Amino acid sequence: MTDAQGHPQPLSDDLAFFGRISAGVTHELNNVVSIIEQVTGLLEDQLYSANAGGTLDVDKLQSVHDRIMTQIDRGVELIHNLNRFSHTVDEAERDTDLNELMAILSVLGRRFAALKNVSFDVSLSTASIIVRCSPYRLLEAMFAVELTALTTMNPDDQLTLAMIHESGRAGIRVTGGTFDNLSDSMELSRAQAILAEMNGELQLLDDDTFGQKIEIWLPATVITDVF
Amino acid sequence: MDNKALGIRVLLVDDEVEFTSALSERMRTRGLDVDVSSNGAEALKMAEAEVYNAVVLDLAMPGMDGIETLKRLLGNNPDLQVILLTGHATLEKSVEAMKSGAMEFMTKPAKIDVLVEKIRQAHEQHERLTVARIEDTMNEIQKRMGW
Repeated sequence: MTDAQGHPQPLSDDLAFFGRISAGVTHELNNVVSIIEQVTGLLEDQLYSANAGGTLDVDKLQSVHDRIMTQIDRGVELIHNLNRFSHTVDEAERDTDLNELMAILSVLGRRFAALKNVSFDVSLSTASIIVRCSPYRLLEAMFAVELTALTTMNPDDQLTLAMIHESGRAGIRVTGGTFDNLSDSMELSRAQAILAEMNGELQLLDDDTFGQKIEIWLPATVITDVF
Repeated sequence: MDNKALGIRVLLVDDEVEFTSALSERMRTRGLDVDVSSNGAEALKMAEAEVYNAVVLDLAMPGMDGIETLKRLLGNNPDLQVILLTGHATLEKSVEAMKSGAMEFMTKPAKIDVLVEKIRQAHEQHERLTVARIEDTMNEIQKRMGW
């Protein structure tokens, strides 16, 4: 992209976020395809051996089948969530169930935690939590919080994102890291700015149970009797 | 496909356990002697403890990434032949890998026959460098001893 004078312009943060997620997911999908290629190759080797007079190992064939199916399930989950993520740009603003965004984050955000050897636990709410927002922008803020939290964590830590709600508002509580040095974080400031556009807020808090936590709060309609 | 032992020792480093499990089995079927590691730190220890003719290394791994692992492997053993095998196929990364001393940069998914051929080339190069190093050492000793 260039300006009127033809000078290159930096891409917007919103577009950069889309690129970052797409790059991460397609990398993981490439791993899925690579595994399927190698596991299918085991089948090819079995057939080669059988054609050369050996016997087909039925247990081996079953194992190859199961391994391929596992990777297909993994790929389908990634594609499904990448598709849902891509559709979050369809509308500038809509009523959005926070559970839906958390489900996307739980799959697409897993790789970022895995790259730090951090386990990633995302728990959804049994309540339906409706937020009026740009789902894409809210996801951008949620990923910014996840990535910032990960910068404070060590291998084998667990990052936990849980949904929280009270009358008239709802959000996400992030625990597992040491967050007291994050007040100057640019990523967190960006998340704060996005949430402010939605009349929401982000807080860094001390907590008796978790030590420290990050909380995101947004105006929301909470429907608890969804079943 | 020839499963006769080739006398080539390979270290395969990738955090995708399912990938290394299937690929290493296929490499063994083709006569290679393969060890597997799931991270850079472990790979460094293994490469210090054993002699490998080639290392096949992923780029994106938890903890120490592939480029850092590559630099440390070659820092410890400059003759080591490292083939990067990765899903990250950007030009920038491939240039960085080659500048850092990788023998080859391959992208996943990779055909087994192509990979095995690269490993054979790595083995030959490793043998050449090892022989040259022994000759240099012998010449140095002869010179020092006045033989």
